[in-house]
Amino acid sequence: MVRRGAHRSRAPVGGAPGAGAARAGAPARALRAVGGSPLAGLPRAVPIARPGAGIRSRPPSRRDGGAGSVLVLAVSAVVISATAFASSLAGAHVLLARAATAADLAALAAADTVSGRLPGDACARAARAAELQGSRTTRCHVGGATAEVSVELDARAIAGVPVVASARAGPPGSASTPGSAPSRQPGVPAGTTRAQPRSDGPTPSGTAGAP
Amino acid sequence: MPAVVLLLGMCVAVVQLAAQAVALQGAVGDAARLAARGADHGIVVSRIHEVDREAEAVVEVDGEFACVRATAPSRMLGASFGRPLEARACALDDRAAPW
Repeated sequence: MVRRGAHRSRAPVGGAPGAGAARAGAPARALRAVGGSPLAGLPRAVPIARPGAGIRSRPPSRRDGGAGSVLVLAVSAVVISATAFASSLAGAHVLLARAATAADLAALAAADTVSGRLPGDACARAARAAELQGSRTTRCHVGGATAEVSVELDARAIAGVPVVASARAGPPGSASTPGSAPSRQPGVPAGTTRAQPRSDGPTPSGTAGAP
Repeated sequence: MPAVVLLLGMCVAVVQLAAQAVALQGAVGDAARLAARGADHGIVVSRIHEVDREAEAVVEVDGEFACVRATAPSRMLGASFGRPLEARACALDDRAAPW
């Protein structure tokens, strides 16, 4: 009798020659209880080596065949997916850089006009600047000496996602939003010197992204 | 395994190429702004060369805009091959501004 939780053998495992199997005419294949699993205590059949038969290795199962190939395929799929994802991100990043440059320069063109340095329509100049860089303006708002321009690139990112960027330009110190009075320093006109870009004259500040 | 290593190398190469393209685009934007504000051609080109010594830059005038077009060899994993990278930017030429 085998009780639940008991690990009592009805016959020695691996049987020394002549030890158990030969006792009292026991069958060649005896049974024992196996523990250590959710089914611990339930009797399961475990073959016991026949005396003198030695230990034979189990022949390879057909279900194990090709396991290496499956692993290689899985790793390859992961790496290919990662490569495709990285390529998409990299391409989108390049497009975002293009859009950001177009928005910066369009906003600067508009700010140069709205500040009175050059005559003309600020938003028309912004639109022309955007067009020359493969994009179109989706929003142009001028106020005081500040211009805020949003552009959308003609090229689309992966999955047809539009690439947009926004930039605001105006005289240094005019961090106000378009429509409100620019906070210009008294006695310092905007864009009076020509030096490095973005250090004088209308100063762009922008954001880029794919909605 | 060689295929996996090859794919990983491609992944790194693509990221490198994108970084180079982004840097070139930024430099071209700055160079266009410099050209529009009347900087010497040498200064404009040197801004492009900060990104790639072998890059070529051309300054063009399109109406009232000064445009800079730059081409640089595509560099992937230290080698240059394939179609060259190209970037273009145009800034409003405000040299005629009274101040």
